[in-house]
Amino acid sequence: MLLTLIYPTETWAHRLPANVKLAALPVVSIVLFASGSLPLAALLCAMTVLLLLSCGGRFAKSAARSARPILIFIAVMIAWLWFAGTPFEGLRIGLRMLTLVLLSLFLTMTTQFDAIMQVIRTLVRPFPFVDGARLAFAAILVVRMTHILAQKGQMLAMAWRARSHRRPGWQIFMPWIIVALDDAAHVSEALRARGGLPSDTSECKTKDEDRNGT
Amino acid sequence: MEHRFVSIALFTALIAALGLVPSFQLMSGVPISMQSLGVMLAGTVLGAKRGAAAVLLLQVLVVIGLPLLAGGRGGPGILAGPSVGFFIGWLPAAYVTGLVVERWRARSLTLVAAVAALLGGIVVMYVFGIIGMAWALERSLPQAALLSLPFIPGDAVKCVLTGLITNAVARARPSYLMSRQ
Repeated sequence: MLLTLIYPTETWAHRLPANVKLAALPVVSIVLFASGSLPLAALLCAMTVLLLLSCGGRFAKSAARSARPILIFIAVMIAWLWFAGTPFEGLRIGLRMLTLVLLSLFLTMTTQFDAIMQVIRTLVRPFPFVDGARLAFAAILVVRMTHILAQKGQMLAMAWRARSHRRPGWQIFMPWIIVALDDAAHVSEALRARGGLPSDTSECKTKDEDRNGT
Repeated sequence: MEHRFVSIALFTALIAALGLVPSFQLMSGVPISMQSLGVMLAGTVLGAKRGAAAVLLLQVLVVIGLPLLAGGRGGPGILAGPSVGFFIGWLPAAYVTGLVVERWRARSLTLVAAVAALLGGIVVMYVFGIIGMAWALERSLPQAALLSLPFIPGDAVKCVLTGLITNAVARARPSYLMSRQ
C-alpha cells in the first residue's frame, strides 16, 4: 500500500522548498475566501491548472485522477445551484473548491513527507507543550502500523471466508481491534526496553554528546 | 507512558486502516465508510482525552498530506471541501463519546457506549458537519442539514456496533479499556 501521494518523477516543483509551498496554500485560501469575486476565482483556478501542466501532462493527469471525487461533487453542486437560480454563485464556490484541492494536490505530489514533517517540527518548536520529536515518531508509527493493521484486517477477512459462505461483516471488527490493542502493548514493551519514547530534549542531549565526542 | 502513547498512535492507524474497508451502501445509495466507527471507538475504548488525541493525530497527518481518509484522500484540500465540518467534528465527537463512557457508569457497557457514540458521533459531529457544509457551500443551516440527513441511518448502525464492540473489548481485554480506568 502506498502511503504517500508523492509523484515519483522529479519535476521543477519537487525542488521548491516545502515551507514556500506550505505558506502559499493558506495565502491563496485567504484571498479566495475574502474576495468573493468570480473573475478572481476563475483566474486563480486557471493559474493552478497551468501550474499543474507545467510539471508535465502525466503529472496533471495524475492530479486530475486524484481530484475526481471532488470534481463529481463540484459538478453536482453547480447543477444544483444552477437550478436554484444562482448559477454564478455555484460557479464561484466550485472554482474556489477546485483551486484549493488542486493546489493541495500540487503540494502533496511534489513534497516529501519528511520535508513537510520538518516544517511542522519547526512550526511547533515555540510551543513547549508540543514535542516535535514525539510528533514525528507518532507519525512514523501510524504510517507503519496502518500498513500492518490493514494486512491483519485482510487476514481476518480471509479467515472468515474460509469458514463461512457469507461475506465478512462487522463481526471481524472486534478481533481486529483486539489485535490492534495487543500490538500496542507489544510495541510499548519493545519501546520501554529500548529506552522509552524519543523527545526533543533527549535529541538535543544526544547532539551535544556527539559534538563533545562523549 | 509508552503504552498510552502507542495506543493513541495505534488507534490513529486503526481509523486509517478502517478507511480501507470497502464502504457499503444504504438503500438510499449513500456510501457508508467505516472511519467514523473508528472515531467512536477511539472515544469509548481510549477515553475522552486519548481518543481525541488519536483523532487529532490523524487530522494533522491528513492535513499535511497523508492519504489516510477513505478512498485514499488526504492533503489540505480536505479543509476546502464540503465535508470539512465532519472532518473537524471528529475531534469533539471522539472527546464527547469518551467523556460519556468515563462519566456514566451504568451496568450495561453496550448501552452506555452506544448512547455515547450517538451523542458524540451523531449529535456533536453533525453540528460541526452541518455548520461546515453551510460554510463551504454558502448555504443556510437548514439546507445543509437536509443534505446531511441521508447519512444518519448509517451512523446510527455504527452507534450500535460501537456498543457491541466496546463491550466485547471489555470482556476480552478489560485492562485495555482505558475509558473505564
